[in-house]
Amino acid sequence: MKIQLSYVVRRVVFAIATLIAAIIMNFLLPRLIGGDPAEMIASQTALGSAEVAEGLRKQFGLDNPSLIHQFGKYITQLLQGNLGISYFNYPVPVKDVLWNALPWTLGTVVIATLLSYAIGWLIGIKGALKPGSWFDNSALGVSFFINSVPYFWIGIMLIVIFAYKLDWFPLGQAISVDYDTLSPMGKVGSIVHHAVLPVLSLALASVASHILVLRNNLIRVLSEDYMVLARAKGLSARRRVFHYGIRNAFLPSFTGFMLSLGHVVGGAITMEIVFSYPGIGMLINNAILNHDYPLIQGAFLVIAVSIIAVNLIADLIYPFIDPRVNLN
Amino acid sequence: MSIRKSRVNLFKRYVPLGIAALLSVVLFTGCSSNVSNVQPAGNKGEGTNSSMSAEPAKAEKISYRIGDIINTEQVNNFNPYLNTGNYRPLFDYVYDALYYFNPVKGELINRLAADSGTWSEDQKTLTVKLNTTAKWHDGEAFTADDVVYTFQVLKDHPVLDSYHLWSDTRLNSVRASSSDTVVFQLNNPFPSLTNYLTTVYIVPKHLFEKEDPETFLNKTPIGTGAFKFRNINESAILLDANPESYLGAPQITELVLQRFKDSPAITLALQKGEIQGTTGTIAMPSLPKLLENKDNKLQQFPGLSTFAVIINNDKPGLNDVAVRKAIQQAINREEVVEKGEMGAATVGNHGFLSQVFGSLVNEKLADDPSLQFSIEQANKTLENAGYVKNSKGIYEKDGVKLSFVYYMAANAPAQNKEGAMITGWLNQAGIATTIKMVTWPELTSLAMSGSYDLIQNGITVPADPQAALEVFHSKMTAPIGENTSGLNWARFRDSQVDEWLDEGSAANAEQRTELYKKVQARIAELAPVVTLYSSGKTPYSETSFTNYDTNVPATSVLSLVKVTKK
Amino acid sequence: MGLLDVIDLQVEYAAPNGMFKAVDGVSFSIERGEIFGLAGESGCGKSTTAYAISRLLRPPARLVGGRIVFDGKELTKLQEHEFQSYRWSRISVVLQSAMNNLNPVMRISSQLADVILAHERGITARGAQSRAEQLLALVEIPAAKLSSYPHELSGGMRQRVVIAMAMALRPELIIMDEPTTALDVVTQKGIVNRIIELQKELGFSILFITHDLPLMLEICDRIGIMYAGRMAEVASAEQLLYGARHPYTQGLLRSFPSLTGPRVRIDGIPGSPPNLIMPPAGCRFESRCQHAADACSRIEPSIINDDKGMVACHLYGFREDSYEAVTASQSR
Repeated sequence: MKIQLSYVVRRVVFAIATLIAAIIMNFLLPRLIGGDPAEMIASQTALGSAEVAEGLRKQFGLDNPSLIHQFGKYITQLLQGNLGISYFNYPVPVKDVLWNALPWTLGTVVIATLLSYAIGWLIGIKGALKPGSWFDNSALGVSFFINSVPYFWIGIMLIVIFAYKLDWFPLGQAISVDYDTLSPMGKVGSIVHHAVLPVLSLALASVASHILVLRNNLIRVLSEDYMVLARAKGLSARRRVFHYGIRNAFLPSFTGFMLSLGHVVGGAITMEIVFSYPGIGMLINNAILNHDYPLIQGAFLVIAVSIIAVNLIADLIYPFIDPRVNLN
Repeated sequence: MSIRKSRVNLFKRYVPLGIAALLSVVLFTGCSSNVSNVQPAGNKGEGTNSSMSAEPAKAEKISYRIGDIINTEQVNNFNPYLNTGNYRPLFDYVYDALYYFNPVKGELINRLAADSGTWSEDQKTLTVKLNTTAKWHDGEAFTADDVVYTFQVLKDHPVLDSYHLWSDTRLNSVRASSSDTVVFQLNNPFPSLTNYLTTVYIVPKHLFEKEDPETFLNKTPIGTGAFKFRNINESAILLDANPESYLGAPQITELVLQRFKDSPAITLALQKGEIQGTTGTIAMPSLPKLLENKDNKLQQFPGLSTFAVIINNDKPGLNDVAVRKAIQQAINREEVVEKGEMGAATVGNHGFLSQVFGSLVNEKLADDPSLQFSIEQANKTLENAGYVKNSKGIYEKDGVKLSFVYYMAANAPAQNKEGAMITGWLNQAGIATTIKMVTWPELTSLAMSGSYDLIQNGITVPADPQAALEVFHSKMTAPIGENTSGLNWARFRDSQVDEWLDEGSAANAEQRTELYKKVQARIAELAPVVTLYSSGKTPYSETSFTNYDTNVPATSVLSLVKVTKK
Repeated sequence: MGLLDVIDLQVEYAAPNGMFKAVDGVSFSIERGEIFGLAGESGCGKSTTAYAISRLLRPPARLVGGRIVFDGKELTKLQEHEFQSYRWSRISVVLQSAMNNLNPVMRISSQLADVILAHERGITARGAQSRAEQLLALVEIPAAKLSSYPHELSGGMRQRVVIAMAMALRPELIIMDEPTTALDVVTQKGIVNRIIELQKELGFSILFITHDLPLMLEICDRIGIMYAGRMAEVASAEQLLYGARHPYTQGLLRSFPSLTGPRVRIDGIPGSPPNLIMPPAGCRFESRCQHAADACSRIEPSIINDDKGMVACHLYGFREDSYEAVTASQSR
């Protein structure tokens, strides 16, 4: 199975087309909601500076009612990396607002996703190899239970037990208040120490579905004929389980994993509230509630780009994982 | 053998589920009881020197932590002139005004002013002696020039003069008659001047004059206050004690303003002992649990913040006084205070003026029968005005349905609980509501621009009875779509109220009391808003610290300079 | 002594509504270099027998009785790790429907090579690769196909690969369970011919399982007919074709139309196999047998071994027999 260049090219072109569509949607959306952004700027005399407001209007072409003109200006600014200035965080540019919040989200959510899938897969595999055993039933029971409780309950429970009662971890926040006085090692330690509970809560909340998907797929695969044949061939258990079993059962889980990674940039707003953790989730939520259009647009654009990019990578990797995929 | 096997299988299948269920029950009960039994951990990790000596050990760090909701959009600037983009309580620790209004006692306390000011014969000149022991945090001397500059900025940049101090009827000039004396020259008598002076933080001329005050972000604020700004990070704003403060060196070495996302997190931190107080933010439903620990206190006072259901008097339906009266009569404020604020608030004055203003409050209103809670009365009020219930049970007249959008703050449990109670009563009274939740800043934005029907929000008035009542002056409002210049978000316009207030601004103390009471009665009668409660509260903990000055808000700067570690 | 002796094999299944014996006392043997066919309807137990021999039974199926003797060694007594040395190097299998036989995400070369690498010490990866090439050549598949994935090959080619795979370690016995059932007749012929050629060339025995009796008659040396978990008749292909003794065998032969010859109405065998959870007391074929007598429903037919082969039917008389007599009569 050779990956044709044509396949790669087609995927990339498709991704770019999707990106363009996303940009256009992003541009149109606030205008569709109703509420002329020009009006918003006019009434937002934040800092009371009319000249600055006027400058912004010109920059984004809002002085000209023509949508084409506005779109043109929007694209021009976009290509220069200017996502506008956040209304509610004036005068901080949208780019900076997002940039400050992004590392916190990426760090926690990405690690939580990786952890969640890794743990889920390990438990799922072990359960599938001995279905009906104590381990399998317990894992299933506990994961069904965790799956059915709301995320914030898990987060709060972790806080109450490990932060409040046992005092092993802080109640919340991303860093300790004396962060700036710490050595570089101390800083890293502070970040990690504060991130443990948020990451754990996110990982736990979603682990159930990862366990189930892989476990069930693996059980199905283990009953396939080629598994019987592999046993007949006298291959080692490791080879059978991995090359014949997991490599086949893994495919849907891989897809799910890539999709999850794509959505990481959307943040985890409930986690941010429960743990008073800075991140993009709450930022976007407040931006929406505040009608902070430039920030909303900027954030949605970043999310769209990230999902498209990750999907593209998934598309390019997938043929290596499942040779049966039709490249046409 | 097969039967035994299937029993074993059943067992194997259900026991893990049982374990999971058991786990959750244990966690649930164990934690709920444990949370109340746990002793707050106290100020862990900070220097604990149990020496008996009077002076604090030199190298020892004594850190006092206050928790509050401080979002990213609230730390964009530290410029006291700006209304948005900053966290206002910070200014009280880092800066000083000439006077401080103590919301606990309703009195003025001298800060940068050395005396309460001397009025001239014609009441048009106020001479204020300054406290020149004060110094800027960068070592520069504080002089009258700084005061003159601070007020000059307001004149030169009217957009920053939110209280309209400079106008044809008010300030004419501010000048330094010597290095320690400032003279305020007025166009007309303005007895409330000293109260208004509490709203203007004095800024250092030598730093501000290089910048444009309208856009200056002031990232490292230099003030005269008892605490100096050190730095800010994602978790907190850190302030160092100013040992040379004219209020006396604080007994704590560091003041930490810890940043949270919502009040339950703050309350949990207070319960654990990670913070020692808040500036008022607390999750009210958790209050009883918090107070089970005898070291936790809740200081209560009427305060300058009145929570109300603010009615947009310009909207159809709501422009009818009968409808507003009905809303007023349909809300059980006592129950709102009891169930929503856990009894830790003062039931609002229908005449709006907060009880902090003492004798100026019109007490007759409290017993007025037409102002009592009664759904039947509300129904009657509407029916007498010609409203009829339609098929859905909503009152209607001339095609105007009494159905409104009700805004309140998101992520605020007490607010949401109260909102649910209030809209429930309104429903019973035949007035339909659709609830919408938005952030606090958005709430203010909607109120200012008039893009709402009903808003449940707090109105924090200036520390002056005239200014407080001028919330209802027509000059403080604007049409829907335009931001109001003042706090008259309700778009209330009554010529009688305007007349009394204009008279009162220049009258003597006795006349003013008269006039203010009349204004309050009129407000109660026309119900432009429905006051719910005045709320000043400061939760604080005496587990590790003592010596709070409860004559002022316990976590305000005047108290914190005296607070010591146990 | 033959290469493989199956004596009184019994395999039990635990079904939702009860236990039943899918294989209930089956005996036969296979000589070296012999092609032995096992025929019967669906559900008669032939696949189960094959799985039992190659130790591929999984719960809910269990071997509960009988012996399997391979080259003098009692297989049922071996532990799993002891049986490892038999897997593939001495006994290999070709399962039904080769598409599922092959791992969809591995290249053909890997699948051919991994069994070689697993069993032969000291062979390098490259050595295994070239062996794989040779194997493909045996079944007339070009070496270029080595790097293909199973779905890139046609059905016939896949089956050839599977057969090549089965021969990778030069086993003495290859069990083929319906190896050509999923293919069209033309491809089938090609593959079957190739199998025969290879068998002659390399000399392995084949246990050939199918329900396609005519095919079996063509290629097998001896054939065993199973019915309802039991062996009904065992005889040489010739004997079966011209002188089948058991009524069931006769019925089977009548069920296949002739390619040449006049068009006749096919009788088939009316009725259906019995429920094995509650097997009937006497002969299991009794309800569908035209020759059924009163004794057939009450008394199990004893096994009769003579020079013609083996048959289990009351028609051929009651005879005491012993295991030695059975095997003596079956050996050539």
